[in-house]
Amino acid sequence: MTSWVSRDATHLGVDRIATAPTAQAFYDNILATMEGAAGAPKMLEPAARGSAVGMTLLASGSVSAAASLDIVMTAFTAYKNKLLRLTSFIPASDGVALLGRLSTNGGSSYDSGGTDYGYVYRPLNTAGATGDSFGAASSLTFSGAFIGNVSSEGISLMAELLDTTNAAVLTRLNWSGSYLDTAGAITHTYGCTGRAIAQDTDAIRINFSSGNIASGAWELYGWN
Amino acid sequence: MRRCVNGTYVDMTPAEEAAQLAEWAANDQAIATRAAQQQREQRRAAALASLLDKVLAEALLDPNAPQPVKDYAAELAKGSP
Repeated sequence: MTSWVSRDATHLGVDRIATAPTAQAFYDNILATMEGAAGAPKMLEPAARGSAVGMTLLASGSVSAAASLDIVMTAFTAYKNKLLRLTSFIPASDGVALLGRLSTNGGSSYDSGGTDYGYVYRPLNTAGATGDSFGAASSLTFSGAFIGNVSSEGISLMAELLDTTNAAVLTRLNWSGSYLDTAGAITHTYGCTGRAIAQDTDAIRINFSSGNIASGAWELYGWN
Repeated sequence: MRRCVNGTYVDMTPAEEAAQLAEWAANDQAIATRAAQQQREQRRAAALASLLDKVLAEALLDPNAPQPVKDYAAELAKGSP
C-alpha cells in the first residue's frame, strides 16, 4: 500500500501524523515534522526548541577577531527575560578571564566604573582544584584568568538576564558554563554577576580580560 | 581593532583603540598582582603547616607534653587525622 503521507509532504500537521495508515508512515511523518519541510519551521532548530519551552530566538551570530561582542537589545524590550548562550568563545590570548559590561542607552556607552559591578562564582576543575571568588569590579566577571586559547579550549556558558526591562531592580546574570583552562583541565564554573545599582539594561558587551575574541558563536533568547 | 555589534563589525577609532589597549594592560596587571598575592598566601600557609609539624614532632617526644598533644599523638598513631 502506498503511503499517502510522506516525508516530502508540504503539510506536516498533527492530523497527518495521527492518521498515518502504517507504522512506517507514522514514523516518517514524525521525522518529517522534526526535520521540517522546505520553508516550514524545523523543530530541531534552536528557534523551535526555544519556542517549545516558551522562549523566542531574538538574535544569533558568530564573532571572530574582535575586541568585543556587543549585543544591542533595544528591539527586544517586549521580552523582560533573556538567555544568552555563548558557544566555544576562544580568546586570542592564553590565560584570560571572560568579562562583560552593560548599557542603558542601547550600547552608546557601557558602564565601566571601578565598582559598577559585583560578582561571585565557584569554579571546579577535573584536577579537583577549586577557588571561590567574589568582589566588586569594573566589569561583569564570569571566570578567573584561566581560559585557554587553543582552538579546542575556550569557554561556553549560558547566562540568564532576568527582569532586564525593569529600571527599579538590579540587572543580574545567573550563569553556568565550562572552560578548558590553561593546563587543559575541564573547569565547571557557575555563579552570578550584575550591575551594582538598579537599571534597565538594553545592551550587553562580552569580552576577554585581555586580547581579542578569536572566535565564538552566540544566541540570545527572550521570554516573559 | 574592531568590535562586533550584533554581527556587524565596527572599526574602533584611534582613541577607542588606545583606551582598549590600556584597559587590557590594566587587567593584565591586576591579574598578575592577584596571582602574586595568592602565591604569597599559599607559601605562607605551607610555611605555617611545616612549622606546626616540626613543633608537634618535638612536643610529641616530650613526656611532659600537655594532654591535648598526647591525644593528638594517639590519633596520629591510629592513622588519623
